Amino acid sequence: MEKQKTSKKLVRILLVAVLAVNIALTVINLYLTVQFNQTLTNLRLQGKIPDSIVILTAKADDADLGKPAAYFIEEGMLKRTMHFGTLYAVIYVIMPHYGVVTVKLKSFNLTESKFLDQNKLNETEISYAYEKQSYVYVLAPGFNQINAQIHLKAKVPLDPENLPLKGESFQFSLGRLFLEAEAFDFETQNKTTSEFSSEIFITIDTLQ
Amino acid sequence: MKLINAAVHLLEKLGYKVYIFIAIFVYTIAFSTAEIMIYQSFRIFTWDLGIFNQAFWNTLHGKFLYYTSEIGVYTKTGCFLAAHFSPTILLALPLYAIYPTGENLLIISTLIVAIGALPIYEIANFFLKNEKAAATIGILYLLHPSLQGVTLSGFSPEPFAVTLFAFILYYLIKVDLKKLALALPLGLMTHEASAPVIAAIGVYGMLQHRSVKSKGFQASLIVLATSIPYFFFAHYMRLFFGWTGRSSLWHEWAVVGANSVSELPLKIILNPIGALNALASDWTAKLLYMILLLLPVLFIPLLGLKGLIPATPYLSISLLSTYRLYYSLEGHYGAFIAPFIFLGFIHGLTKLKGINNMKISVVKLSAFAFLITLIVFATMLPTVYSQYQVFNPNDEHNSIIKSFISRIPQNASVLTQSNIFPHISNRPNAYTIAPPTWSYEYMLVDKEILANLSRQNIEYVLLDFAAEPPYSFAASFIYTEFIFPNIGRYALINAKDGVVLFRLNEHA
Repeated sequence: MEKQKTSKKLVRILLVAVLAVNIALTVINLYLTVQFNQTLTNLRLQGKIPDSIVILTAKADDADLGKPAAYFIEEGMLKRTMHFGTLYAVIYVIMPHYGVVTVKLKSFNLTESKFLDQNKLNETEISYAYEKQSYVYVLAPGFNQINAQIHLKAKVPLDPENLPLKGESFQFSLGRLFLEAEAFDFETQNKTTSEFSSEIFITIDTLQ
Repeated sequence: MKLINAAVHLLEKLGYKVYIFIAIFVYTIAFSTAEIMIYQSFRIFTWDLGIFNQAFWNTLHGKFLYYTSEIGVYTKTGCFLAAHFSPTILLALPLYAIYPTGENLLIISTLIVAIGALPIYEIANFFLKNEKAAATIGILYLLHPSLQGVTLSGFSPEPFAVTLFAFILYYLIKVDLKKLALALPLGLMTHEASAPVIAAIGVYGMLQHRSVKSKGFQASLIVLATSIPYFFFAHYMRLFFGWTGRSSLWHEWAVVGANSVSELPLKIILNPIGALNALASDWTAKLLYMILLLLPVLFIPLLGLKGLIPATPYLSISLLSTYRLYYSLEGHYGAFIAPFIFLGFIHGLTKLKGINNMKISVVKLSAFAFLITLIVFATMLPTVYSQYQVFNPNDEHNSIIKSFISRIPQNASVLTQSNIFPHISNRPNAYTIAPPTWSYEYMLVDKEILANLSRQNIEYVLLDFAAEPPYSFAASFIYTEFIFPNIGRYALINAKDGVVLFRLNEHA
């Protein structure tokens, strides 16, 4: 009987102790939550960028569109090739608000090359590989780094007389592609642009 | 005085059952409040809620269970019954009509889940002949983690299923054939997946009543015999209402080689290695799931395996799947298992009570389970709630979303992400997409939906880029796949704190 009373007492003490510990932990938890929220608010205030400031810089690596994906042969001679490849660009944007950055192809400066058909230089074309693909990225307030992979397609008119011997392959610079990154701030509706460029290389391997 | 006397008389008549009514009331208030808080902060799991708010609103306005978010995916017609044959959900329509909003649906579904404590109490009282223990078990049921998942998932057919399963069980055990005749069709019509579960309830009933001549056995046989053809009938009805025939985009049983639940039994036989591989995949999560299901009831259901029979169809489906929501306590799928955990618990307790040389008090054991449940509940609930940050709402941001919503005319067509969708889905021409991060296949479906919507003149597009990750991805996706290709047609009319509202140009 005495033993039973003691064990009951012990259980009660244990329950009270568990309850007390839980209350203490809850209070600590609440305190930490409040403190964390305060820190978050402070960080938000510190990180607030003035409305008018948008910093945008972009750069791109040289792009090698590689060997032809398609050969166009007329009267037994290689006249044109088509190449596909990826241009890697990095865009850094500091935004005061949410917005978007879009990457557009601006212009293409063709390099003089004996391998190109001089009469059809205006037929040289560089464009997005897939027409429906858009290079638009959502930006959050603060610092954004966008690693863009731009899939390109190039149509190249070749001068068959200057091409190397069959079975050989060689790489040459097709020209410099100019691109534009445009950041758009949803809130202020301001646009900021930055131009950047990339040297485009292709590889020709004449069919055996 | 008369009123007090009547109340006292009622309390005496109800006995311990009064605690169940109090628990139902408290549960409904507490969980509805929490859910509405999450809903108001645009964080609740809203995919289903948006669907049902739109389907019910449209039903009240002449378009029967019409919703837009899965047109072309699961339903050709836009009727919800093509996605799931769940006519029982229409029982909530009169209550919804009183106040047709998402909040009301949350209250209704919470109440429906809570009512399930009543048949659980009755079953416990039937077997244990102890009102006090039965009341404890009834309350214990409401605190079971699997039920929180059903409740916190908002409105769907599952809250109806979980409660109706419990009622079917009770009426079958008690052999109350009139009430069973009402509960059975309602239970079957909650969801096509309810049919195998109810069939298993029939098997349980047959084992319970044993004697072929007994009414209970015969009723159980009828339950079993009705459920099997009903499963195929429900599939036919889905086709009738315009099901596209597409199986789930989650490919839950791809390891076994099955595309749907109905293919599963045959595939298990044909591909037992695949079945074992499926069972072994993510086994730690599956084991934890089983532990968390049984721990609050002290693993006692393992002593009353008969009670777990109706849980076997869902357990097989979930443990053979690779879809984590099936074997986690977060989703509403706990509906297919919760009542049977308690049936097993009650049978286990009955067994313990029957062992003469063991001096075990059922009430004390129930109370101990109650304590364990409270600990599990207290440990798990904050982690569940923390993902919604329910107690830390960003009021400023939420009020911006609300003010933008208020700028959209009631009859205008709108496209938005799924966490905002329930707030604007009270119209026939509201559209959304599933978060594309759900799976690659969902992303392809989203692309298809947005391409189709591009051909329509959607008047408003509301995006919140500052939302929680799955929803902010959806906002970005809608921008890149819908707004950007149509940039000339849409004007940005307001933006604040990542919330952006676009409107179709008048000349577009």
